[in-house]
Amino acid sequence: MKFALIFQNDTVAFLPELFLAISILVVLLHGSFLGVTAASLHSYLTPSMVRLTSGTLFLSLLLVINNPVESQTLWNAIFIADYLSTWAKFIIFIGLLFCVSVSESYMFSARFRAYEFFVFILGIALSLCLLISSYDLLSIYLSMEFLSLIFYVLAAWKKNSYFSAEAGLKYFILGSVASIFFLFGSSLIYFSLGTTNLASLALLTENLSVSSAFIYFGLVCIVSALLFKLGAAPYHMWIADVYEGAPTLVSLIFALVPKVAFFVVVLRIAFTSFWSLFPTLWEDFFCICGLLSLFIGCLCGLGETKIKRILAFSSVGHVGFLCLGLASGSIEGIQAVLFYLVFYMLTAAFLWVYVLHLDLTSNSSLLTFADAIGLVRSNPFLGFGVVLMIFSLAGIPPFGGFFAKLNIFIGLVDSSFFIVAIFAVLTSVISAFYYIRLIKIFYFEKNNNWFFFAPLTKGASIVLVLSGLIIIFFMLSPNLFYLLSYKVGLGLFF
Amino acid sequence: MLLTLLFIFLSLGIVGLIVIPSNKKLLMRQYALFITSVVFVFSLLLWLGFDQSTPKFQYVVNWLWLPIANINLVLGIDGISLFFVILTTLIFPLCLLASWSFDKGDIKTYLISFLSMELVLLLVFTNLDLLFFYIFFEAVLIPMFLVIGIYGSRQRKIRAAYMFFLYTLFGSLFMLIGVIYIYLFAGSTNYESLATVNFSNYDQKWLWLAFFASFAAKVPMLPVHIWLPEAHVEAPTAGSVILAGILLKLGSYGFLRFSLGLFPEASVYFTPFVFSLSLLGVVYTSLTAIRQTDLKRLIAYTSVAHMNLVMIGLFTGTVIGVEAAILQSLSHGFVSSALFLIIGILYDRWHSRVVKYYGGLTHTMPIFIIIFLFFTMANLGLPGTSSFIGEFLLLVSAFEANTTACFFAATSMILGGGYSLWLFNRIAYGNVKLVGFDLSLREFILFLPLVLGTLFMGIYPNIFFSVMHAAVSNLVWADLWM
Repeated sequence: MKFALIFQNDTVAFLPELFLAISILVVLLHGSFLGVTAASLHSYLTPSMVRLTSGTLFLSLLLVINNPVESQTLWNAIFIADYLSTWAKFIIFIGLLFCVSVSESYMFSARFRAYEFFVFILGIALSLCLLISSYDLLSIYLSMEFLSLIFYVLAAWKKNSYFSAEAGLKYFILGSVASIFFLFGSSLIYFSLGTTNLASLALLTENLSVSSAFIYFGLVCIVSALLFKLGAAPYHMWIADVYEGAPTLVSLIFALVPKVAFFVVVLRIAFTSFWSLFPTLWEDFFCICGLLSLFIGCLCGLGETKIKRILAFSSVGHVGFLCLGLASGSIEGIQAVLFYLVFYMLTAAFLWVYVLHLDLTSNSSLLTFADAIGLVRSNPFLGFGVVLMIFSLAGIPPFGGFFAKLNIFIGLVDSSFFIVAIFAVLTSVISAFYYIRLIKIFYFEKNNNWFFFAPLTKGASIVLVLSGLIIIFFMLSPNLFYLLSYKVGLGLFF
Repeated sequence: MLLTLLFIFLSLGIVGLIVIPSNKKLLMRQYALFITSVVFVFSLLLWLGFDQSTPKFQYVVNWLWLPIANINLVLGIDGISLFFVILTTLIFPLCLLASWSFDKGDIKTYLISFLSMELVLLLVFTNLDLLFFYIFFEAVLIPMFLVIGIYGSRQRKIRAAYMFFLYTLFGSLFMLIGVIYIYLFAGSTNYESLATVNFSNYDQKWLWLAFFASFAAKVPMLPVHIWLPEAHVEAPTAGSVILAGILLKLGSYGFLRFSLGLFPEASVYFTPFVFSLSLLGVVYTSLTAIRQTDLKRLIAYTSVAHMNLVMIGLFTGTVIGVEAAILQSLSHGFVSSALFLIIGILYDRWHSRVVKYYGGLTHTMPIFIIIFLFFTMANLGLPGTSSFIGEFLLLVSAFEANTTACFFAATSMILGGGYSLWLFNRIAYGNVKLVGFDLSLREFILFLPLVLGTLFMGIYPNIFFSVMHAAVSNLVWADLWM
């Protein structure tokens, strides 16, 4: 009874996570009971799992929107519920719903009949929710490990492929090193400040005049680990191999979902807890990471001939832009980052769903440019959409990607980072080169082989239409989103 | 209201084109021609209802796009932009008419690209918001890139499309940073509000340079003109016409509207720089044009020379110079479009653009040669044609501003005579090398408005100047230069 009184509000605000945790068990039971009969594997298991998973995700989405608590710490300030966490959870649920809705046809054609995949998706949802609402270095670490374990398994999921095994192993080893760095960094901070709670850290560092080297070093370790998970530049080594080696459906999840959650954590650490270190530490750190990412993203993409690798390097470049948005250290910067994250997620969803479609229809599993030749002739509408999205990724107006970059530039110029802005401009011209090379492949080259009209599956077309429409809506009337991201950003400052 | 109607009509026209099934090619062509012709009539109505006594913007449309951040789409027309709008709406139906028999690849994508290009170009010329100007200025790249890349003639088209895209993108991203700086400095990107803002001299210089990087690639000025011959040569005929006739005017329009209008002190400061680059451009590209063997490449280089002459006029800082520059832009829009159409007709018949391949056409295609002669003369500035008015007034104002500059600019007349006459000589006279049909009715009708327009502008230019007076006088503060 007493317990109920103390944690009454906490339970209410924590409902989505609780619901997800219980439903993981239910889905696991459902799958294992269905999975024992071999006959049901082919036709019944995957569709029923898809329905169950998407239903669960949708219900948790509703629970998140319906969150009655405005802003409050939960469970002795280990977690928090605020605007940022609500909207970030909303975004990742949308992303995961996208992933689930394209998974059915992939599971059939790739002959994967494992129900565990859907349990993993729910696990990803739970761990990302926990990560987003974490308010303590320890809970961040634990939920990050929860997420990473699932990701390691998923990357190595294609048992008969060397690429997949390589991806899984690389991701596992490098990811463990990153986790160690995080743990080491938080222990250093605990050593020098005596707490791991983000709010207490904010109070302690508010008027910090002489800060010890331990704090700096610890923070660098922590944020490096987070940037590793995001694939920012000095820590980008795994990203191309993992994206290429993992099954395409899993690469789609890697590309779409976790970025939002990790950026939320970075925002919390940089802007809530250690905002007082802004001019000295954060500006240099994020600027260096951002510029390096832009540089790597544009140069390494130039020589690539595989579509998945090119998308991986383009994601490095985009994370670079996001880091530059953080470097400006103002509310405009946060706003730009949130804006950019959503646009990037929608655009990437469109392109990755196309890559998935290509994976299902083409013969080779490597997905080089040669597989994509003649897209416009075999499927004109899809080709047109993909070309527009690539222009959007390259940041050509009037598409969404331009407005996202514009906000980042506004943040940079506002903080007088002129040289950085000019460098970003140069790299975006260079990266425009490989984006329009993709367009050349789609539109200008003649295919010598036979090609067939391959219709998109229903789930994939729903995702494409939804992401396209949302982007067009934000292009035509950005007011709503602009205000929302401003409000979310304001809630971040302690 | 009229302007809103025009844009709604054109946008709905594009949507309608998507709906037409792609095997009805003739219907699509007729439909697109109808849409563009109606838009042309709309633009003439804009001229008819234009109040030439005021420098203010007319037909203003204001769409609250992002009112919180004070970024709104504002459209309007004044005496400077009116003729660029009319030029755009005139060239597009002609282009569609010129590509009537063009049947290479998907016609639907082709027509949609052209109509969307017209929409975006009209949005650029009527735009009164700096950020949206940038957006549409860049957005023109996309349909043009696709047109060059998909419908170009040779394998080199891909290189041309890349160069076209990347040169312009590279320049204009600097302009983007300039626009953002202005937005943060002034809190608005509205042109009319910005005209009241005083930028410091130091800021003006940097901003001017940022804008210069973008517009110079579009004009094109000397070091960054390499994309132009490539793009003009590889594009299909209609694409070259749009490139020469309208896209190059984006550069001079941008200089006129933004560099001169927002940063007058910096414009004065950089005038010698612009003069030197333009003079180099005029002389160098004229000399280059003489020795070209590819017809389209030759005309492309003459375009560079003429547009650089326009730049000199813009930076003389006199009302006469600026008005002459606008008129010369228009005239160049007519004449070089016509020349590209002429080459397109030769190319349609014999599929070659090599000068040596042709000869003695005067014996077999007399009507064609008359029109070719007319535009050759117009190209070198014969009195009675529009170019004469433009070039003469340009040189007058250049003489007033800088006599040395005037001297070198005047060499363009002689060099222009050189390349134009020699080209005409090689193609029209000599032994009959080829036998072909003369102009068809469609092709004749194609040239008629251009011939009439060129003559009209040459004989009675005052009807054009009188519209510009108020706006240009408002723009130019001559005392800064003197």
